[in-house]
Amino acid sequence: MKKITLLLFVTITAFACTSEKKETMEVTPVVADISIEDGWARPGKAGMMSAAYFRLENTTDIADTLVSASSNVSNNTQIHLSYEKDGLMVMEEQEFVPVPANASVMFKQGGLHIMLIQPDNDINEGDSVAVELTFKSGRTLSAQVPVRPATGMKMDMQGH
Amino acid sequence: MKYLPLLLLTLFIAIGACNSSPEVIDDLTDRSFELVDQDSVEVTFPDDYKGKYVVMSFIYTNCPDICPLITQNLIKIQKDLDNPDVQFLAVTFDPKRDTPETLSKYKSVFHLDENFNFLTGEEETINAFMDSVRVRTQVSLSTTTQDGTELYFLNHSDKIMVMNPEGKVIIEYGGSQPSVPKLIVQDLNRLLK
Repeated sequence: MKKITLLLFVTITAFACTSEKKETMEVTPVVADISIEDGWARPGKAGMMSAAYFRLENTTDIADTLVSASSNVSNNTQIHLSYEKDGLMVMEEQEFVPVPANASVMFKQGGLHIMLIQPDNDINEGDSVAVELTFKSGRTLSAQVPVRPATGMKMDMQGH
Repeated sequence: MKYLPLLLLTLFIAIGACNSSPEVIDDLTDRSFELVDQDSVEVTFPDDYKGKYVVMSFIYTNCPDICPLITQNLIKIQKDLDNPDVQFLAVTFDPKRDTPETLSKYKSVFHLDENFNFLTGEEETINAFMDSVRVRTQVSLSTTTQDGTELYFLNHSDKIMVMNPEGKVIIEYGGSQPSVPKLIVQDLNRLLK
């Protein structure tokens, strides 16, 4: 009888340990890990227009959706998309931008961009602009992006 | 005798190649537009630019994305061409807001020299000018800012043109395309030989 009790105890303990190990292995993040990479903003004058560009990098298996943007240089910061339609360049405000799992989303000239409308002060080369992005998951993401002229590099223009 | 058609075809191609001069896209020689630059200097277009090649584009300064991209392409052409005899112009199609003072501020952001000017004018004149070079615009988004002023954006044509010394437009490409500066520099270098 003692042997049976001991065997049962060992079996239950072993099962419990196995289950615990299995749970630990299957833990995954509940919020996508998204970062802002290669950001920059165009110089601009107070009361005029500027824009910020970057690459959103999602390295997790979880998708999220960008729903709003703000900045420290303008009270009116919006997400827009430029594209060609019927021979004209058009621009539309975006209510949201999907960020798929394990993917990157480019904000680049001639495409998606963060519009910095009528900044309070001049945005000069060498300055930086604080950009804050809010996602559908509730997560916010902040970054300081340097102010520099567009380089005309391929990354600035690709896909246009 | 059986090779006669082939010989004739070759002859026609050879003659065509020898006489190849750029096709005239828009003839502006009989037009005259009274405009002003970013320093409020009066300009008669195209008369004041006759005798030199002019690379020109069409923009508005409240454009946050495409027009700076077009301006960058003009800058790249100017830099790569490196020819002070070629004039660069960006003409606004939003004269209501793009006063000389506004254009001057816009120019200062890009650090441009005296061969690169921005032009504006009376609304009626600008409309006629844009018609003559087939530039279309339409109001797209319109919102009211926090201080109560109206803010609108424009859908617009996207082009860079080259006008020859006689006042005839002979080259036209998409203005914001990344491949365009190289093409225009190649074309101009060929024409300037």
